Amino acid sequence: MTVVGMGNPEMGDDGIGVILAQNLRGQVERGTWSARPDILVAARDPVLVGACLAEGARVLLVDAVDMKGEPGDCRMFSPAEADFTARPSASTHTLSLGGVIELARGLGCADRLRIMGVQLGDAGPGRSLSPRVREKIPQMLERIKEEVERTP
Amino acid sequence: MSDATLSITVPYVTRVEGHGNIVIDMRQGKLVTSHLEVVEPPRYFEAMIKGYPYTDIALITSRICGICSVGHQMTSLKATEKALGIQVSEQTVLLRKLLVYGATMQSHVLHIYFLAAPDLLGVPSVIPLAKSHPDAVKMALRMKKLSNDICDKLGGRTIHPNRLVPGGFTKLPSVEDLKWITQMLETQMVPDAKASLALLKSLLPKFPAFERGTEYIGLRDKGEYAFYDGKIASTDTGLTPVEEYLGITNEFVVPHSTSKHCKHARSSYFVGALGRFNNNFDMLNPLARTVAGELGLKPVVKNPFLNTAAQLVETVHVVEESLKLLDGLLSRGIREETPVVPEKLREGRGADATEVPRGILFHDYTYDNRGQVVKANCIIPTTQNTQCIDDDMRELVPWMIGKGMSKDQMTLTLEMLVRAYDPCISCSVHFLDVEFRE
Repeated sequence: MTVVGMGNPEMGDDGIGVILAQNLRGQVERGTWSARPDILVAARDPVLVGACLAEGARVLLVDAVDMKGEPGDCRMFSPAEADFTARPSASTHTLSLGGVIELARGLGCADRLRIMGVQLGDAGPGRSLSPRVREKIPQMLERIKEEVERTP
Repeated sequence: MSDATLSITVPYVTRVEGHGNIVIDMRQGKLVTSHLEVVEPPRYFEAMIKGYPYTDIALITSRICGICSVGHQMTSLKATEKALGIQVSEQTVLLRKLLVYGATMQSHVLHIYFLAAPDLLGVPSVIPLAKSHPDAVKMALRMKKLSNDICDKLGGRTIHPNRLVPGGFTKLPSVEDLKWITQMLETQMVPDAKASLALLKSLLPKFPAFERGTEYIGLRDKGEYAFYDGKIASTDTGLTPVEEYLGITNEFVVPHSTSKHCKHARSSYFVGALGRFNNNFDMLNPLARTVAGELGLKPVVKNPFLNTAAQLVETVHVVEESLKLLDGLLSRGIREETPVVPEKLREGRGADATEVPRGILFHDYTYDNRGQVVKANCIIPTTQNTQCIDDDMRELVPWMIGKGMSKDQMTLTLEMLVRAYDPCISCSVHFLDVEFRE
């Protein structure tokens, strides 16, 4: 499995996916995990999620979401369970996540994607993680670990 | 045609970065307006970095762009090093070049497949291609990811690399990293680039056969197709030292755009893959030269739509060039080095340029004796291309009318033209100088 962290750490809670991926990479390199997932920091480039799926990998995408929950709440879901209201689009910089999921559907590999959404609390330029999200990082890492270990 | 009346407005051109509108207004055969309106607000990076120390400047200015962050960082570092008299090692230059090549591959692949190909294949975006051309989409994703991985291994991360500092690298890639890049380029990127040639060649008839000669500008260096360094080369006027870039760019303000426009020997000039290709064709590596031949590209290429084809030639060239660099680096081994620091901070000015995917990029800093910026100027490729796009439109509209195109066909062709330049519209908007009449 490939764990992909997305977001912008310079935008407060928006960067939680990247921070979790970096944290996981450290744990895996220190050998504290039996599983050895590939870990990718995609930051703001969802196309890399599509690239991993197209290569045949199972992907756990970790990203900040707004699901009207409490800051730091986590939820695992498949693309089929969510409505990605952001319209599929492309710019010089990248496709949107919604666009990448549509692309993966077209390639027949969207079913290999799971998403762990973390409810953000405070996001904005120049901010760091909000305390309520930061204090739940250990639980988030456990959720990822469970997902990785139960995935064949 | 003499009585033609035409009004085309494309608000927010898609598949480009940032916001720009196409506005065409023709009345009784007279073209009144043919503009790319850039509507992004100025971003004031040049003002933002005043008072900041030289160690921070590349980190801040690389934030001008997400896709060209490597190019901004590189140009910024070179300008700072020039201003402060820092001489970097040969190894640093080689690794920096390798990183520039990785970033070029990444950006070109994205543009060719995700932004330009949908027009050539008659679909609104890359998403439908996943079903109609799944192998091509998988190949594009593979090429994009490998390019990103190369940048990660060299720069620490793809977007806004964190290992590049004035004087060198804070962490060097390992020999294993370099061997991995070599293997992946040889076994994956070269075959994928060759397959890309076959695809693009089959699409050549879909490129509009429009030509408009202009001045083409790009860096030119001794002994290699210039990306990292060189003099400013113009197909009209020859070579100019980079320090004299203001005599090339000649920025001016137009009412319809928040981006400045540029001109040199003619009313506008072209930068980007065609700007480089038309000035560096003789420096192409063998396979890239073959690809150019297969695509029918020979300087001076005057069709702006073929900028995308030139990007594929360059993709192949930088793969070949990377393999040469890697061979050299692996033969000599990676030496542990710490970044060079200036012996003594001094007042100074440094202007330098790098070829980023969209064209020649200039950064120019003046430092005080504490090593803090007192003045800065960054001139981005899209800023240099906006007038050229307007000039192309002015000739393209009558050309399309002459071909009997429908309004829908003309609208699409105008959008394709803008996309062919691979513009980064947000980046094109920088500090606006305002003079008030007293």
